[in-house]
This record gives sequence, structure tokens and C-alpha cells, in this order.
Amino acid sequence: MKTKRILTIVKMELLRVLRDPVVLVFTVLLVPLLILIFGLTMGSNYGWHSEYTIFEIMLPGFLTYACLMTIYDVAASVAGERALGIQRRINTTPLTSAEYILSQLISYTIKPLIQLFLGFGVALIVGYRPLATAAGYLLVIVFLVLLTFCSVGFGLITAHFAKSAGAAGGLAFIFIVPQQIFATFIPPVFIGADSFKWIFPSFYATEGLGYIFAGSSLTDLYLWMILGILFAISIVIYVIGILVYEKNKNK
Amino acid sequence: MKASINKKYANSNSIEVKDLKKHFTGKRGLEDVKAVDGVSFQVENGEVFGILGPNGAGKSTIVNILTGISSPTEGTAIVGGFNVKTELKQIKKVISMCPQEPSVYKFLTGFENIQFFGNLHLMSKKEIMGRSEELLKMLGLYEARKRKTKGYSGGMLRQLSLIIALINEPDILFLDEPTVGMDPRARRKVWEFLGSIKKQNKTILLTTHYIEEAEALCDRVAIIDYGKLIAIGPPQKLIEEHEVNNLEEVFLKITGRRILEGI
Repeated sequence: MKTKRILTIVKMELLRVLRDPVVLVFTVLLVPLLILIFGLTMGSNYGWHSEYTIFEIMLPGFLTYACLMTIYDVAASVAGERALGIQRRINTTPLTSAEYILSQLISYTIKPLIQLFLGFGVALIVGYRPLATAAGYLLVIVFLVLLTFCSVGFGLITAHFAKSAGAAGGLAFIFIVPQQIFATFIPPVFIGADSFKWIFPSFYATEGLGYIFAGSSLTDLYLWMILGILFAISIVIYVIGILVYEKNKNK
Repeated sequence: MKASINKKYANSNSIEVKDLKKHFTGKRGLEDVKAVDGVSFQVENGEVFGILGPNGAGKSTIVNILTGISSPTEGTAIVGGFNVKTELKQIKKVISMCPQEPSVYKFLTGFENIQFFGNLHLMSKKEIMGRSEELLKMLGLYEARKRKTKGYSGGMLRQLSLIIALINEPDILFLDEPTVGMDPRARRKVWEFLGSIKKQNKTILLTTHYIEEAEALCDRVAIIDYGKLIAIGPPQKLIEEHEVNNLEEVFLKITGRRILEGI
């Protein structure tokens, strides 16, 4: 395992986010912008809840939505690299599968941290004041990183079915939109629509973040239970994604 | 330290292929496809060996097997003294491949792409700088090295792809249709460039469907059709043996078809 190879891939992944305008907008800028708009317009609107503003209820969902956009990022980049023959070329270099997977683990741990930093930073600017503790914030990072890995898995699965980056980007929304509508920042429009939100991984992250930001005790069993469920789902989806990727990487 | 070919084979052939087969299972009731069907040949150290044939003949499949991208159904393939089935890790240290597609990142500059692949070969920054400068100047891409490849023409992308394949100074270089899609001028430039690489005693295996390319560059060629080897030898010798004017006519005489018919 060579650190130089791993860091080379990580650097390339981060440069892609910065230099590809579509990826930059979707994965980095969109959510802070949404937070800014909703923060300014709904930051003092209590709507249907007596204790929390609409914005306070929506914020955890905004942060998890940013992670969901990783599905688009991964699907488009993997399908694009495959179409360009980059994956085949990389596979003729001494880079090992273990080095590649580790580099992906590092990249997709850094990316949600950037998303959290930007999104949460904007939320603080527009006046959001959560009740979380330092340990709570660490747990927030764990929730977001797990959801990001789950999204990487969905992205790899999506790339399997797409022949080009454009097609993969479009297909990615099959996994993004239902999770966005039923288990991120959008309040349920139809009565009973939120009764099946538990089937979406983003629900567990959104729920966890909501609990932490509301100042719930970190010893609350429910919090650890949803973290455990998200962990299990993420592992399964990520492993399926990696297996699908390994099967198709030379095509 | 730079990896080298297996010492056991240092004075022998760079590539040895024996009865190589690659069959793809037919889907939805279709027959199995015999992409490579019992091909055998050797490539000597420092030789430029061409695999010539029409599209779909099995040329790229052979390169894919020799570079570890796909595994053979049957047969033996030795590259740099290492077996492709069991010693792929060692093979990857002594080879480099230039695929048919441009295979570069569009959001990186020309130099960043070279650096990326140089780093995967664990080259130092100094080595990458020195080697890339030399190669970029040789192919006339030096001025464009700081531009993102998104703005490169098709010919420039192919040339950059070739530079990337050479950055690690491989002992054995695989070129899959290296000049496909290039205009005649750019193609000639690449031929001149490959001629200079040949002088460095590198072993080059290239696939092509351009007769002129095979005749200009290769010490020997293997003509492939429907996955089978139908002729092998130095271009001039094959032409003389078949009493024709060029390799296209050699192919025509053996198969009754033209190489470019299927393109």
C-alpha cells in the first residue's frame, strides 16, 4: 500500500469537485445556497410547530441532501471515466484495488466535511443556533460520512447501468429524488407520506441530525439505534457498489 | 528503483503468447464469440511488433489480455518474463498501455494528467518534470501543457495519451490503435516519434488497421482475422512471399476481403 498513490487519487477527486462546474454546483454550492435562501425567508417562521421554525426543522434535511448529491457525482464520474477508457488505463498501472478503495474512503470522508462546513457555516450566519455539544457535532459527522458512503454505493450501482456520464447523471436522480422528497428537507405534502420514510437511508441521517441539533442526550438509545441502522444499510449498499464496480471496471 | 523485466528472460523474448484463446459467452441464445482463437507468437526484446487486422478481428482483446485488463479463456501469455495469470503485479511495473480512447481527465491540464499517472508509478516530482518536458517538446505539446485537456483537439489528446504511456519509461509498451482518428500530418508526427522511441530499444506491441502504419513502424507483423493468426513475419517478407505490393493485398489474397472493409 503506497501513500503516494492514495493521495494522488484523493487530490484528483477533490480537483474534480472544484473544477467541474456541474459537480461543484450540485455537490458543494447548491445546499449552502438553499440554506441561505430558506434561512433568510423562513428563519423566523414557526409554521406548524410551536417550538421550532420551519428552517430549523428543515436544516438537518438540507445537510443530508448535500450527501445525496454524491450519488450524482460518483455515477457521472465513474461512467464518464469508463467511457473515456481512463479506468482501463488505471488498471494497467501498479495501483492496487486496496489503494483505490482506500483513496475513495478518504475522498468521501473529506467531501461531506466540506459540505457540512459550508452548509452549517451559512446556517450559523443566518442565525441558526443548535443545541448540540462538541460530541454531538462529531456524531453529526459520523452520520453524514455514513450517508455519503451509502450514496457512493448507489452511485456505483447507477454507473453500472449507464453508458455515458450524462446518462449516469440523469439516472442518479432515481436514487436522489425519492430520498430527497420523503426523507430530507421537504416536509411531507400528503397525509401519511412520511409513514414509509424509514425505507430511505437519508431518513436515518436526517433524523439523527435533528435529534442532535435539538440537544437530545447522546445516551438516547434511539439515536444509536438509527445510527446502527444507517451503518448497516451503508455497508451493504457500499459493498454492493464496490462489487458491481469491480465487475465492470475493465469494460 | 525502477522495476525491470524478469532477469530469467532478459536475453529472450519480451512477450510470448502460446495458443491464446478468449471466448465470450453468447447471450440470449447467441453463439459464443471466439474473439481470440488459438493465437501464438513471440515478440523479441527491442522489437516493434504490429498486430494488423480489421475491426473486430481480436487485436484489442489480445492487448487487453497481455496488459491484465481481461483474462484468457485458455493458453499462456508471458510478458516481460511474467505470467499474466499469476504475476500481473510484476507485469504492471514494467509495462505501459495507450488505449484506443483518449483516456485522460478533461478537468486536469495536460501536465497534471501526466503527473497523475507518473505518481501512480511512484515517480518522483523531479523525474516527472524532466521526462514530461522532454516528451511534451518532442510531440509539440509543451506550450499547451498548462491548458485543461477539455480544450485539446482529438489529435492532441491522442498525443498526450501517448506521452502518459511513456512517462514511466516502460520496458514494454502496448499501443492500441495509436493514431486512430488523427489527421495524416499528426499521424506522421507520431510515427516519427515512435521511431525515436524504437531507437531506445523499447519493445513495442501495437495494434492497427492502417497498412501504412504497420509497414512504416513494425519490424514484424501478425495479421489477425476472426481471432485467428493468418500470417506473421516482417512486412517486406510477407509482401514478397505473397507476390503482392503491400500488406493490404496480403490480407486480400489470404481472406478475399480488404482490411478496411469493415471500418
